[in-house]
Amino acid sequence: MVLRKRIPRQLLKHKGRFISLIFLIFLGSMTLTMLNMVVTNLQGSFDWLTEVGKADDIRVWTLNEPSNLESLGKILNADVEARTAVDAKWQDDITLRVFEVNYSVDQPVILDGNALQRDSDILLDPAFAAMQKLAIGDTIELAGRTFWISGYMALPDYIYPTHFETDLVTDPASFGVAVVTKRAIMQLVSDAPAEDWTVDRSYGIRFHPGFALNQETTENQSQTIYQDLKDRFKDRYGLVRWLERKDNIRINMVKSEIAGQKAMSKSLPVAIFMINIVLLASVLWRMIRMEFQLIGTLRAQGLSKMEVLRHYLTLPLTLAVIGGISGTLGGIGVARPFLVYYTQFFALPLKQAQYDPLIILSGTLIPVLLLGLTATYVVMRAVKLPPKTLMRGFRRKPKAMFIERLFRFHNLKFAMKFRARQMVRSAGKLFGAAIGVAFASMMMLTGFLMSDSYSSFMGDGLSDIFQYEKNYVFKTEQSINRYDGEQYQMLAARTLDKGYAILIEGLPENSQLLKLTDKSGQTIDLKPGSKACIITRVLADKMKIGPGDVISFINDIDDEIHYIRISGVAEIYTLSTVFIPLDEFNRRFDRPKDSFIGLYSIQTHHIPSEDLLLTEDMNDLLTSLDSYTNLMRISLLSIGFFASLMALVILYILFSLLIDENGKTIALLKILGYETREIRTLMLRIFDAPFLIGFILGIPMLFNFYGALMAQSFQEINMTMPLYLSTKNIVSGFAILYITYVLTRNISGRKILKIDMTDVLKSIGE
Amino acid sequence: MLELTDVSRIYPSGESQFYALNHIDLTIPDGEFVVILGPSGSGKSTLLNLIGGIDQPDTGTILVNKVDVAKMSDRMLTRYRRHNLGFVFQFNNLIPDLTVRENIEVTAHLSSSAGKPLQLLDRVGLIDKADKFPHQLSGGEQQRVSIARAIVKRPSMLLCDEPTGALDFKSSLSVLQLLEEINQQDKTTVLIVTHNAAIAAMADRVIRMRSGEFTEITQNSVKARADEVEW
Ligand SMILES: Nc1ncnc2c1ncn2[C@@H]1O[C@H](COP(=O)(O)OP(=O)(O)OP(=O)(O)O)[C@@H](O)[C@H]1O
Ligand SMILES: [Mg+2]
Repeated sequence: MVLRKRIPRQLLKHKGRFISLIFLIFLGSMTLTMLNMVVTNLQGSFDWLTEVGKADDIRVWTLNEPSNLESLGKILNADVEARTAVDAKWQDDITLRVFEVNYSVDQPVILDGNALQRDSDILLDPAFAAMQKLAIGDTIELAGRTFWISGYMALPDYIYPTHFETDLVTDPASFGVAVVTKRAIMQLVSDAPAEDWTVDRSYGIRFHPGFALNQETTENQSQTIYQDLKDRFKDRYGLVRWLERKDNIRINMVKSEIAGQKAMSKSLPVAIFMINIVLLASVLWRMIRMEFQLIGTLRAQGLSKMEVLRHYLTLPLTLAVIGGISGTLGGIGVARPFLVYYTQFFALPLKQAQYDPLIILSGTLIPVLLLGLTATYVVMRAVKLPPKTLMRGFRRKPKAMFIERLFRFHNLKFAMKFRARQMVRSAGKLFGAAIGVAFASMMMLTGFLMSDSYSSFMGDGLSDIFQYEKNYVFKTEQSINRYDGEQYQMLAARTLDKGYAILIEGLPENSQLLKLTDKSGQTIDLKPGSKACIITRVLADKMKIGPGDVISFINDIDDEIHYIRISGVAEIYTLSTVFIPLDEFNRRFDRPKDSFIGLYSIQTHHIPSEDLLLTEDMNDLLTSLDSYTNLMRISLLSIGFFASLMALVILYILFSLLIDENGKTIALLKILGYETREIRTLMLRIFDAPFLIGFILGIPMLFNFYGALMAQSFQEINMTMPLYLSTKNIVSGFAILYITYVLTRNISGRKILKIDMTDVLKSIGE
Repeated sequence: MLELTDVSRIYPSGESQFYALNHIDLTIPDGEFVVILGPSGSGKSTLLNLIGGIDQPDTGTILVNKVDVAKMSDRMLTRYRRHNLGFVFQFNNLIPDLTVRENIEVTAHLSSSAGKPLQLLDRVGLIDKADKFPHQLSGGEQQRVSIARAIVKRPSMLLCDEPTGALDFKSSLSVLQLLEEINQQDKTTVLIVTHNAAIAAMADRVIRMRSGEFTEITQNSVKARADEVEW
């Protein structure tokens, strides 16, 4: 059909508009493909690592070595394997946690290179190796011994290799994990300089298939089995710690990130495609309206509705296919670096990236389908009319009159009146602009929201609360304090309701090193002998409880159920902890009067490492947080860039439609002697209000969206992050978007210059 | 005073050039009533557009009170149109979603010395239609509104391209009467482009065109009144 020749001409005539549309489709399709690929691949390698690496169900620490692990395993229907770990100071500030290789529980999975063959071989976690510039084949020196790096590995219980469990972020600059042979670890233990190095021995338990106890259905069953098992360890070997897989933060961090990405992979492309649909519909409807007479003529000449429809669908489908295919390819392209980044960050195996055909297909088909349906709807609105109606041309319903009566325009000044009329006419476009800007402002402010929230949360948030430099946790309860600092008591427990793992901590009165403050910043005091009971914000939010409620839990030591009435909530966002006065702790749990398990200190003590379960260094934590926020800032900057690009494209399409539709009026105003600047003010500034409204609307939308997203992704970990956005950054976000807006307005304003005045005189008005 | 010297407007046409206006000379004193006649495609609108500063010539000068319109920048042209000219077109080109009164305000807004829109509407006999929208008016009424719009800012020259082209006889007559009155009472120079030879009787001067050239320029010694014109 000759008609087809019009399509390339139409594309060329409005190329800016169509390129913008293609770009938006590209963006939607790219985010769809990329996020879905990242999520499925991450989930896939996570599951694979858990399976192949034989992740433990439980890991326990005891005072005495369990005698016969094999027979214990038989009784339990599980594999039980002991694992020694040495925290080696590789360099001054760099700790390498060296594990003994295990084969039946928490086996290291080789990501690259070879498994251990000789006692001088060592496997490293890839993020640490990358950060320290260590390659396979290089050597490292530990306790005077030389180790050859034979490969990179991932440990299924150390997917997110944080130094301490309370750490929020990994820091490969100062901490890494490694695996050596059983013989090598024994040598390391014997060579270890007692002062700095700590040695740790734990037992991993992995139930045989069929006894996998993490499914919902066997929840109760597993509780009883676990309880029996725990009692056994307690009675026979002296239980020090008990960590179930579902409470392992080094795994949950990853699950949480995957959950967050999953939520993002649904909402972001949906939002972009929605905007696409609205814009395509407006552009297409504009085209169709101009061609009412042509459509009528074609129909009168005997073309069927289907044939006309097919003609008008060619253009939108071409756009959708170009945008969809390039977006899918782009998505596949960027998914890989993202995956590489994530898998390094989390020490997950990046096997061959899986190109799920369904994801790839949907990257193209979804935009084609969505836009095809939208286009069909728009075209059919015209095509379904009888030819003789169409031949009369498009008639706008005079909706102006109704609104006229409502608002009494004629009392306004002329320019106001003109703009008011224009706004009524362009209501749809204004709405589209408001939504588009709201979305762009959400994207733009995301960066600021994250960095503000993180810095308030980590900067002041953390260092105000955690005032200590060192946190020493002893293996056994102490009674005489030989070191300076604040002593505290602590035990692990599980809430009766929902079975959350929590910590109960006994703190001295008016602790200076761990400061409990309430919402208004007031210090909360734990008076000795009082019934004070303070829970953290995380716990309060997670369990939806507050002052006056009773929290009930089973503690790990005596297995008794305890009930305590909550007296306050401390604004701590990283721990699920119940704080009570130290003396009350010892009384309640039948501990000797002045006993304690840990010590907060502002100075370094030389405590024999065999006495310590762990040592936590606050400075390490703060520096690693710093490097993490810096890293994040870069990626957020690019989101901001995309946001303004999107705003630019959306506004550009709307402006160009507006100018197009009002071409005659604009030409007329020019003939009458209006200056371009005046026309721009009259015509284009009608978007000022929707722009402002859109931006302002974006702020609560942003908080709602991220509130929900955080709730979803933090479910797994003991953390919440209060969302905070500083005024300064709102203003910056506004300024950047506003500049984008003015820029787009001025670029579009140039179109006004190009409108030919003589054209308008030749034909009848629209 | 309007003086055109050696004015051409050239469009490329394949290899050669097409002269829509071919080296035209013309002088029109202030206050004249001029009618330009000629067949379709002879260059009438082109001439009017050049005088009106919405198109620019390829050769020659167009002096309006000794200032060359052909050499003006866009900005100066805008100011020229704004302060000196009124336009009336064949298709009235009112803005459809502004009321009659607002359509006049569009130009009144441009000049501080402009008349009151309602007075103008009274003058063209449409005071009772002030708050109607253009599509609620007849073609003749619409054309009278567009004349009111053109003269509200008191231009020194009124350019009319086929002002009666889309109207029946009776409506045409009321439009012509209005133009005559403007010419005589306000001393406004009026240029009318038309197919309709009958209108020539009203003019001080009649210019006949063909293929971009003037074939004949006649000075009427006796002018007919608008209500005497008939066809
Ligand atoms: N943009 C253009 N490109 C090429 N040629 C043009 C253009 N505009 C006008 N012309 C040509 O210039 C000539 C004069 O056109 P003009 O519009 O002045 O005629 P006219 O006398 O007003 O005719 P009508 O009575 O039909 O309005 C015509 O032959 C036309 O084809
Ligand atoms: Mg003409």
